[in-house]
Amino acid sequence: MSGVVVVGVNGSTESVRALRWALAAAAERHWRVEVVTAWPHTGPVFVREVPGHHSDARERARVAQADALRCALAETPAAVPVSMVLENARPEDALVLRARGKQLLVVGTSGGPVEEHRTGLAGRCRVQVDCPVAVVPADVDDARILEPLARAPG
Amino acid sequence: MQAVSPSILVAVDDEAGPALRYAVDAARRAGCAVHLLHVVVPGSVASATGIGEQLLHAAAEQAEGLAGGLAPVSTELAHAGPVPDVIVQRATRARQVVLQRRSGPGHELTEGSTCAEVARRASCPVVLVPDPRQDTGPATDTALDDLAGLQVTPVGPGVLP
Repeated sequence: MSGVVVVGVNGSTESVRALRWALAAAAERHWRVEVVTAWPHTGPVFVREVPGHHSDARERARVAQADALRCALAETPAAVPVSMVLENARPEDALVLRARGKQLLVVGTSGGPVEEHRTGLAGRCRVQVDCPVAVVPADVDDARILEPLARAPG
Repeated sequence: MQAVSPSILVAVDDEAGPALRYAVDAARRAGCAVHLLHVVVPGSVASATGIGEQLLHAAAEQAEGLAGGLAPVSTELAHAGPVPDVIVQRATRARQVVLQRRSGPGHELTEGSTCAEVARRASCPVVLVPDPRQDTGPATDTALDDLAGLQVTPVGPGVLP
């Protein structure tokens, strides 16, 4: 179990799709999944990560991450080791950092302007990450996700 | 030869490299075919078709060697364009699309436009594979170093916090 699939999750439908696909990819390869959720660090200093200090923003991110994983795992028959990471950072920064030295980075997308794909989350990850980057559309059909999971060891 | 079942589509535009290896490995694991596509845009120089055929032939040989008989390999030379449109159209019947991420002189504009356009519009997952032979390494961002000490919450398999 040496490989790691890193997936960015913000609680959106697109990110849950990406997570399901990441679980399938990991199941096929007997790898583990690292779920990365970022909460912004551009706000006032009181929303920054401070040990021992409760942060509403961090709690919202944690709940969104947990809900997304619960939703994805409910539809995932294969047992895939999962670890969860909360980063007080911009999403693209957190993903680029976490993907270093890993085997695959997965991000979701809902389409949008092409310029966003060049300069936004997927575009920046694509340019800065040294491992393969999978961009998963929100409307990818279940057959393309669940078929490999059906063959994976449970 | 056209692949029948949902296959993994690889766009071949140059020497087949890491993207081809990634695609064949994924196809072997998924038990599906690999479909190699090269696009010749109308108006290209006359030699483009011959060059495309050679590229596909070499890529198919390499893919078949990597597959070891565990993943059928098919090829397609498409005379159409623009390139992203052709890949997106073919993606409608693919399991996933694998593209080689190019970098370095001469690749900035085409790589960016093709990868971004296909990733934006494809109906299936698109995997962009870097080429360590060409990449000068991921762009550095000193802001990332600030993240190194942030909290990581490891959780056991399948356990929610």
